[in-house]
Amino acid sequence: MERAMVAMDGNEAAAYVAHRTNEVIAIYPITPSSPMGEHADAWSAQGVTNIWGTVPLVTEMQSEGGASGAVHGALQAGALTTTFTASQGLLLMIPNMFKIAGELTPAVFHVSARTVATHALSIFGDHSDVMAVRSTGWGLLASGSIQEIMDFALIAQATTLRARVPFVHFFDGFRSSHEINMVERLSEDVMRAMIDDDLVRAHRGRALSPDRPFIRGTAQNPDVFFQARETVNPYYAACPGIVQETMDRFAEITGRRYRLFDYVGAPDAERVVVLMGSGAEAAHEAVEALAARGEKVGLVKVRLYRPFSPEHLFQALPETVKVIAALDRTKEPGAEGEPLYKDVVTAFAEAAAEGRSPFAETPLVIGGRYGLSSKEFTPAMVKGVLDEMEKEHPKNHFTVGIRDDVSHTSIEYDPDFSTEPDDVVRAMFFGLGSDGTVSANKNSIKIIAEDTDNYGQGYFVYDSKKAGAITISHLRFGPRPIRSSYLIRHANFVACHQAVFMEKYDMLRYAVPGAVFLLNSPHGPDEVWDTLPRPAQQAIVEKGLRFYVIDAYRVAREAGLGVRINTIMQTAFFAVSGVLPQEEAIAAIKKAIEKTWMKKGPDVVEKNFQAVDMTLENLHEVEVPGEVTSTRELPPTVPSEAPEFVKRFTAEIIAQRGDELPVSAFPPDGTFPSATTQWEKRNIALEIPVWDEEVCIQCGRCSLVCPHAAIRMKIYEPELLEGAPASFKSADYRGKDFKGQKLTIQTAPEDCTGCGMCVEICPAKNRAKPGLKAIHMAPQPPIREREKENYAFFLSLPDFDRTRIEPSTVKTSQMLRPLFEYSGACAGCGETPYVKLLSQLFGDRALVANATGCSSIYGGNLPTTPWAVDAEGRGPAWSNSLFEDNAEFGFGFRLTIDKQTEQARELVRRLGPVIGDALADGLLSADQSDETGIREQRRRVAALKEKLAGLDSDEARHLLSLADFLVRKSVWILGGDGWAYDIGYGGLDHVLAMGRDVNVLVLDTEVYSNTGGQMSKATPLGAVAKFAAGGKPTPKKDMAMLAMSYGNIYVARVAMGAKDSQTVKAFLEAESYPGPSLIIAMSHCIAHGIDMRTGLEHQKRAVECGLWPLLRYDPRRAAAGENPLRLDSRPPKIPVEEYAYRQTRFRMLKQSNPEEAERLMRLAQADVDARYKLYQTLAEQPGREKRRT
Amino acid sequence: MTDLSTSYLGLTLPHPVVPSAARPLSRDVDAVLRLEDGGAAAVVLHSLFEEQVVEEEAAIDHYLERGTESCAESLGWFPKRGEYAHRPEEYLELVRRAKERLSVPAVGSLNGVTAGGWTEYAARIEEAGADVVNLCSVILEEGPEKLGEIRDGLGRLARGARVRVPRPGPREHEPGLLPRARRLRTGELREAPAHPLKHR
Repeated sequence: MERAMVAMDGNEAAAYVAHRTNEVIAIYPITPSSPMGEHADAWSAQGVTNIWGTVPLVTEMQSEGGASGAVHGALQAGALTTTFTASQGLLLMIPNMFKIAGELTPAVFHVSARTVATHALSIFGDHSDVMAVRSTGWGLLASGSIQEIMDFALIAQATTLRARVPFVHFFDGFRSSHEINMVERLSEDVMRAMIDDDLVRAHRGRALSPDRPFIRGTAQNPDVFFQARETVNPYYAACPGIVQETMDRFAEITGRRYRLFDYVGAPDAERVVVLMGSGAEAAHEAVEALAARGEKVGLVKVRLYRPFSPEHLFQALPETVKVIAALDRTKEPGAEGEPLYKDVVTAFAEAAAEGRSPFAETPLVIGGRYGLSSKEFTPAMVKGVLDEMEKEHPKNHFTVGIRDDVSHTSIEYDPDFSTEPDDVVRAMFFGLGSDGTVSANKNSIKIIAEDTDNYGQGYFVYDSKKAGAITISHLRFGPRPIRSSYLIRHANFVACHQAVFMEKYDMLRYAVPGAVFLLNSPHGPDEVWDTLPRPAQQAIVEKGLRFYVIDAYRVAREAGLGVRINTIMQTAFFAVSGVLPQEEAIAAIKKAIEKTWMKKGPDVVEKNFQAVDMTLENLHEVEVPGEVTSTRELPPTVPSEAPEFVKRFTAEIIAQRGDELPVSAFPPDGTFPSATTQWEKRNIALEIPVWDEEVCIQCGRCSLVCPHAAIRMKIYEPELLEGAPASFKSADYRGKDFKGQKLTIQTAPEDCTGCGMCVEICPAKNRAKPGLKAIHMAPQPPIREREKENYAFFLSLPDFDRTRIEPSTVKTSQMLRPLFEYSGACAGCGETPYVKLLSQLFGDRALVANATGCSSIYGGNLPTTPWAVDAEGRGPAWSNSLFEDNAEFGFGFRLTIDKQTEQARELVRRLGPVIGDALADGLLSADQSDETGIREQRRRVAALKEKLAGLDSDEARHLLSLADFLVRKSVWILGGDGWAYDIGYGGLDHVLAMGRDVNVLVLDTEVYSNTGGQMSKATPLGAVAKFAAGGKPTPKKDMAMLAMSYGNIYVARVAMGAKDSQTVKAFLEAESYPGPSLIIAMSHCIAHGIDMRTGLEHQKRAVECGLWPLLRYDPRRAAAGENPLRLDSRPPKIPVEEYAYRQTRFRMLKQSNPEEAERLMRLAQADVDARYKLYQTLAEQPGREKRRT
Repeated sequence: MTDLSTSYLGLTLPHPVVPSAARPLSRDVDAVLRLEDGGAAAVVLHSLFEEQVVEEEAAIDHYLERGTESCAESLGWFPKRGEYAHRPEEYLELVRRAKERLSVPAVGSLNGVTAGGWTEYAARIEEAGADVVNLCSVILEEGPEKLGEIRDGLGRLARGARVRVPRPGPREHEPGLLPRARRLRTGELREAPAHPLKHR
């Protein structure tokens, strides 16, 4: 049969088999499993068939709950059905998993196992999700390597059909799901040989059909349920045997042999570790190396975890075993041990008690935790465990890989123990997101896989920031299959693709003596040495590194490749790393270039060939002086004036030393201080805005639209300018309302991302210098120090008294301090200006419930948070719960606030005589409808607290703890369209219907932005997105219309780029409305495929073509006898296509399928016309009779 | 009645009034049909410009690539690139539909700036039904010393097109593009500026 070695990652390996052995695939995206669904969707879109010759039907559902329901239904109707998920998504499938297993339905779910959110969310890998589904009755089959993922995907599919036990086939999220390695791709012949078509037909035969009707899914009573539940026992008893038979059959066909438990190590081992997943690969390396030097150690790799077969475990263990360490990649607080540990203990305990243990002496079993949330698990740590097992009293319930100085569970290990062989090239590449580094590296692995006899492995570490993010690629190449499932820490090649990193990161600490260091720098070989900071020079000298330099950006430019440096850096890598002989390497690169770029035409190929040749000409080895000459140290990670917590905790994470923080450094409940982004000066903008105070008309729009609060406006008393830096700019305030004040618009030079939106929106024109406005972009480095000083002075100016500001206009709203600043959002983000506005208007009294999505990542991903505090120490209280529950979560805030306020008021009444009637009356009758009212109430509460502090009674203490509730609070429920339109809609609908005072802000990017652009019900007709590759065939859900149908919900659709004044009004009206409010905010996004600098212009066109009508529906107007609905935008004045075809998400369909694009555009136009007319009709209705309330 | 028939691009036409390649005149099938209704002896469809296609493809490529491989949860923003043909299908569709409705000859027109990028498109325009493919090439060189290079470039282009485009079928195109290409091969460049194979 045909065999082919290819390079692919774990997700692709699983999806490859799943797509070919199923008929229906229903998914919902969740990191890190999303690529599996995307592969399946892409293959189906391309017409790739399964092994039965039909194209699987792939559909995206609204949530994992929905996906599992659809899967259950498809299975019950007889299709071979699968899904892909992880973490919270898997947990949402639990109810259906019980059903599917209870009905003995063959199915395989492929899970890239990911941490379940507890004190924090994590997208990274461990087994907490799969362990949470143990009781569902599903089989659990664990893969450790990419080859195993492909093989076990098929073995699981073949097994489930025979055993009628459904299977979760899982592998470690990120470490395996995203690791690229070499695999032998299973052919369709192999798959056909493994899958028994009789069993497929049997599955169909059990399906629901009116042609042979029966019912399934009855309700049962106490008399019978128990017995019926016990009927499945024979199936579970037979299952392990069936799995082994299937594995044996697989071995016959492919030559790769697996057992339910596979042993590696000394045949007479006394110490054996037992674990599953990618950690077993690292353990394999450690055990092999130690056994080779005579240590009596071994490893059992668990393949089949459920049903758990003690007999097969015993068969795998050597009879000499004395101590077993069961390692779990999960944590179950409150349990006497983690799951695998308990299964192993139980196995031995039962065998011993029943006298059937094959071991002369029952071994000691200890348990330990490792690798939670993709924490590194290395051969050094495995050795640490094995060393612990040699002690007379080895620690039980230990942790390895961290330093636990609180509960002292951690065991020691020698981090320098390495099993990395000398004949493996271990390369680390430090790049900037999107600069081509990662794609070049992925290409390099492909070259090795397809054109040489070598093996390659690639693993990529990304930042959590969405702008200016660092990527670190870990590549290994060698003559043998590579199973090193851990990051490179002993690199013999280090490449820095962005010279600025030399000032930020200590990359050379990973280089071994004699390693090669390649730097992309604008400085040539004779000057570059002097540009290096001292630590870098020291590392080069002391480790004897061979230092190469290339100006890749210049070469790219001269070769006509713009700013893409991937071909150049890839060539440079092959030229100096020694992976292949240079000539062979260059030939291989050129062959790959031809293959990749052939379709674009010979000129593109030629440009890339030229780039390759020019690389070799421009790659220079630097003559390293014998000593360090630089005195320049790396700048401190955070300024010296940063708070203590930031210096000892946050800074460590920013400096990439988070791994070294001990347990005691962390808060026990996941609580972190606000306002920490201000200390993380990222300096990622190449250019920043510079204000021209003489041309400025002081409209405030630049400040309004800035996604990062990196350009701000302040008004202040003129005398406060005393002591200002000489370059600090200010202007006389223009306007009667604050006549006599000064105004400054100031950039935060180190926090700006250089997006340019402020310049785009500026309406002012410089008549003396046509083409310039009141702001223009200028290179940052030359003016950085000057603007740092100016910004520091700007921040020192006091915030203007809020009670004097009526924030109902754009200009006045921008006089308020932003309490959301310098987030990790994309440069030019369309969401964050709205979030910032919310923080300005209401932040000092707001509680924010934030759905999972972009906003929860830029809002709360460690090390820092952009949610800030004002001068009085107040600011938004923010939390992310989950994805699907966000509306309910925020509703819970409101329930508590309402209840505690009521309690506080009751107590005030009761304590009136004690605290003073005047104060009590004031507190109870306060008008808090404006800033002045709120400020006065705060004063009263302060006075109340003072009085209560002097009282000794339970009631007084009770009221003291509730007194803050007497000040009006603002509840905001925030999230994207993925949450609001899809997974969270049920909850959102209910919360809106309940009538309480909550404010919902939907940041509508019309696509699942955070997970890479999957379609949502907010995606417009005709737009291309993942799972809508052919253009979305249905119109955008009109959530505003649905909400308005209730009649008592304030609803607004806003678009800052079209009508910012309406946006500000809508926010104020929504918050003041004493009931549920919904604002749907148009947010441009990188996933639209636009120049982000022009995002606001796109918003304007969306409104002008009618796709995004601006409206406000205010129930108070209805109560006053007026039509509650106001249309705030005019009838469409441009066709939809004039907006749409400026965006890649629409234009790409025009390129690939112009007929379909035309058809969908016609439908979109018709829909817009009809919908606008409907709104117009509704808005023109006369008001009803004034309601008596 | 004076016989106005002529031969042009290898086509025998009843008269020499042929609208030239201009997008407003041939932007869609309806416009092309109006030209025929107006009495055009043949229709030269507007040019497919290499720069335009390359730019559009480059723009799409730019946005498909921009921001990728940067953030762990969103390594890409759009469905896989393999699904996009990157072909000027719209133009081919115009040729196809025009030929279905026209009774006069339709001439497809390609305008390129590189010597080699067009051979495939020339073949596809011919497959879509065009009676003739008009190849225009911009080779921006100056000076008589460059004439040899220009000649070589045009020759390469013509040879390339000729390689991909099969010999004419039942109709003899004489003189036409393909015969022109043969003549170019033999070095009669001085005839080229007067023919659709243009140097500008």
